[in-house]
Amino acid sequence: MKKINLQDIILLVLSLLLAFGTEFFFHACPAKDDGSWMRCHWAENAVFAIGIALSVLTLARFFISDQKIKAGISFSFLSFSLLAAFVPGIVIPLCMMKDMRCHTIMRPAVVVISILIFIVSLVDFIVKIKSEKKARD
Amino acid sequence: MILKAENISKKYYRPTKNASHFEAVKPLDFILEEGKVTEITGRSGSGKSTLLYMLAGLLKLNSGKVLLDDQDLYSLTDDQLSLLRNQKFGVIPQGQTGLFALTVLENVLAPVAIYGDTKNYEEKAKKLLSLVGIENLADSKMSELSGGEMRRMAIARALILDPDIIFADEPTDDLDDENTKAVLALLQKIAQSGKSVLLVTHESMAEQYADTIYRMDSGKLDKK
Amino acid sequence: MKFSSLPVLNILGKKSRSASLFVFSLILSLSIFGGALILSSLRTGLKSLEMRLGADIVVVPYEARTKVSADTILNQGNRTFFYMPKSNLDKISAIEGVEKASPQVYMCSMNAGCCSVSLQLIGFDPESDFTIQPWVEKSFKGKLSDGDILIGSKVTLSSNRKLKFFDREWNIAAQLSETGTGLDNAVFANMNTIHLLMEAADKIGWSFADKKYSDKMISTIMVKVMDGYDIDNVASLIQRKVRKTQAVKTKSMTSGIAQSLSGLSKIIAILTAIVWFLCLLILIVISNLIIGERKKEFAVLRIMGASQKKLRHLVMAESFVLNTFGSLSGIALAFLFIVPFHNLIKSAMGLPFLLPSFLWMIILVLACLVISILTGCASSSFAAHKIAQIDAGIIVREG
Repeated sequence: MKKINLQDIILLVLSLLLAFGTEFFFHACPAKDDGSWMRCHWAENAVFAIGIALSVLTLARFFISDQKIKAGISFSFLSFSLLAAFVPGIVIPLCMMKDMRCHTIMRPAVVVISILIFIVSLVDFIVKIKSEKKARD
Repeated sequence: MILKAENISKKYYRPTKNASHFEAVKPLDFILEEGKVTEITGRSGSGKSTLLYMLAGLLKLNSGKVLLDDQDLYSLTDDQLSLLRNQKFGVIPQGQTGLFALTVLENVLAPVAIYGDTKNYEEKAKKLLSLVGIENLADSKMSELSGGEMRRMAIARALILDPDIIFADEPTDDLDDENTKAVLALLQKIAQSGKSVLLVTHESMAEQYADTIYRMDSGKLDKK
Repeated sequence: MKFSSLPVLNILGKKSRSASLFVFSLILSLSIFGGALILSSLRTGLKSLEMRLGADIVVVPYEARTKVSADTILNQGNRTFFYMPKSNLDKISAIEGVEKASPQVYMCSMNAGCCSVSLQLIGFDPESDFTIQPWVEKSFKGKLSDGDILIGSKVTLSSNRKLKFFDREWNIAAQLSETGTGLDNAVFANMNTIHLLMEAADKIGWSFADKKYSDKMISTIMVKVMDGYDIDNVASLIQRKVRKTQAVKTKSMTSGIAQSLSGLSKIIAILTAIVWFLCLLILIVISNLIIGERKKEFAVLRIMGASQKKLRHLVMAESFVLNTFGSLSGIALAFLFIVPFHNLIKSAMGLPFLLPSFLWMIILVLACLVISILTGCASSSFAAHKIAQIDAGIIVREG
C-alpha cells in the first residue's frame, strides 16, 4: 500500500457515507402498504450504486502511486459526484409532496455529501496537477 | 561608521546569596573599529553575547549609551532603531535561527522583505549562498538542514543588505574545520572592505583572523 | 517575496498549528451564523403565518372548535374538513364591527396519484378573500377559472401541469410561493371548482357534505374587524348572533406559537452565546500558546530589523487570514446543513420556518463574518502585543 494521505481518507469516508448512509440512514420513503415501492426508492438505489463505485475507486487510489493516475481518478470523481447530486429529483423524480422523507432527508443529504466529494476531489486534483508540474520543472 | 559604547552595563534580576541582581555586563566603554575584525572571547556565561546584543541595539541598557556616529541608538524610536538595524547591521545570532516556514533562499531574502521587495536581490542571495557553500540547498526547507548548514544560511542572511557592521555570535558553532576557516576568512575579507566586524566566539582559530582581541570575564572586558 | 506574504507563508508552513485556529474559528462562525439563520427563519415563518392568517377572527362550526389552531387553519399536517351553512356568511357580514367576511371550504383528497398522502384542498372566494388572495396574486395574476387549481410550493409541479383528484385531472394554473406553513402542502381553488371536486368525489363514493347541500356549505369564515372596534367584543357578538359557531381570535392562535418561538429563540441565542464565549477563550489560549512557541522566530525577525509594529501586524495578519478562511468555511458549512435540510428542521421543530430573503441572508452572512473575524482577531491581539515587547537579545541567547 502506498502512502495514504488525508484526501484519500476523506474521499473514502464520504463515498462510503454516500453509499451506506443513503441505504441505511437517510434513505427514501418506505414501501407502501401493499409492499410496492415509490419512485424515490429507485433514486436511492442509484445513489447507492454511485457511492459504491466511488468507494471502489478511492480504495484503488490507496494502491496507486502514480500522481497522474490519481489526478485522473480525482477528475472522474467530479462527474460522479455531480451525477449523484442530480439523481434524486432530477434524473429520477421523487415523491409528489415535498415534505416527504425523500425530499426532506434523502435528497439534501445526498446533495450535501456530493458537494463535499466534489470540493475535496477538486482540491485534490488541483494540488496533484500543481505538484506534478513542479516535479517536471 | 563608528560604534561607541560609553559606560554601558546590564543587570538581570536574579536573587543570590549576596545580591538581588546579577551583573551580566559591568560598566564599560568600548569602540568598534572600522575596517577591522574585533574579537571578544571568554568562558561561557562571561557576558560576551549580552554585550554583543547591547551594542547591536537589541538589549536595553541599565546605564550608558551606545553611539553610532554620535547617534544614541537607544534614544531612537523603535521604528527608527529597527530600520537602522535592518539597513546598517547584520546580525548572525547564536543557535538555530532559521524561519521554518521559509526556504533557505527565502530566509536569506527575509531582511530585504521586511521593508521592500526581494525581486532585485535574488541573484545576490544565490551568490551569498554559493559563497557559504550551500547554493544547492536554496529551495530546501529548514527542517532539511543540518546545524552547520543553518549557521551558514544565517551568515548569508546577515550579509544580504551589505551592512556596515556585522555582529557575529558564535558563527562557527556546528561547523567543521574547513568551513570554520572559510567563515572566518569571509569575515576578515568583509572587514578589509571597510566594514566593522564584531566577533564573539570561543573558537581558538579565530585569533588568527582578528585584528583586536578582548577577553570578557564575569562581565568585565579587558583588551588582550 | 514581500513582508505582506509572510503571514500566508507562516500559515502554510505549519499546517497543523494553523489548523487548530482554523477549526475553532470555523466552529465559532458555524454556531453564530447557524443560530442566526435558524432564528431568522423562525421569525420569518411566524411573520408569514401572521400574514397568511390575515383575519382577526376565524369563525368555525362549534363542533370543530377543537380542530381549530393555527396548525389546522394553516394545515401543518392535519387533513381536515368540517362544514356549516353558507347563510352564516350573510349573518356575520351584517354584524356591527365586521369590515370584511370571506368564506373558505375545506376538503381533502384521497391517497391519489403516486403519493401515499392526501392533500388539503381549500376553496376560497377570490372576490371577497383577503387572506389567501394577496398571496396568490404574487404568483398568479389571472382569473382563476372553474376547474383550475393552485398548488402550494411543496406540491411537486408535474410536467403536464395537471393533478389527479377523485379520478379526474385538474389543470394547475400556478404554483404559489413558499410560506413556511402548512399552506405549502395545500391545493387551492375557487368555490365552483371545490363543488366540482365534491361532485367528483361523490361519484367515486367519497362524500364530504351531503350532496343536496354541498353548494350551501362552507367550512370557515374569515373576518376582518373594523378599525376602532374591539376584536373580543365582535367575536362575542358573532357567537351570540350566529348559533352553533365558534369565533376564534387569530391572535390567540398565533400567541401560542409566538411564545414557543420566543422560548426557542432564547435557547438558541443562549447556546450561541455560550459557544461564542467558549471559542473566544479557546482561541485566546491557543493564540498565546502558539505565540509562546514562536518567540524565537519573532526574535529573529526583530534581529533582522522588524519593528514592534511590524511584528504586531504580522501576528494580526496571520490571525485575520486564518479567521477569515475559518469563518467563511463555518458559514458555508452552516449553509450546507441548514438550507438543504430546512424542511426537515421545520418538521422537527413543528413551528413555521421560512428561510429569509436572499438580501437578508447576505446581510446575515456579512454580519456573522464580521463578528467571527473580529472575535478571532481580538483573541490574538493580546498575544500580538506581548510578542512585540520581547527582548530579542534575551530570547536568542536563551536558544
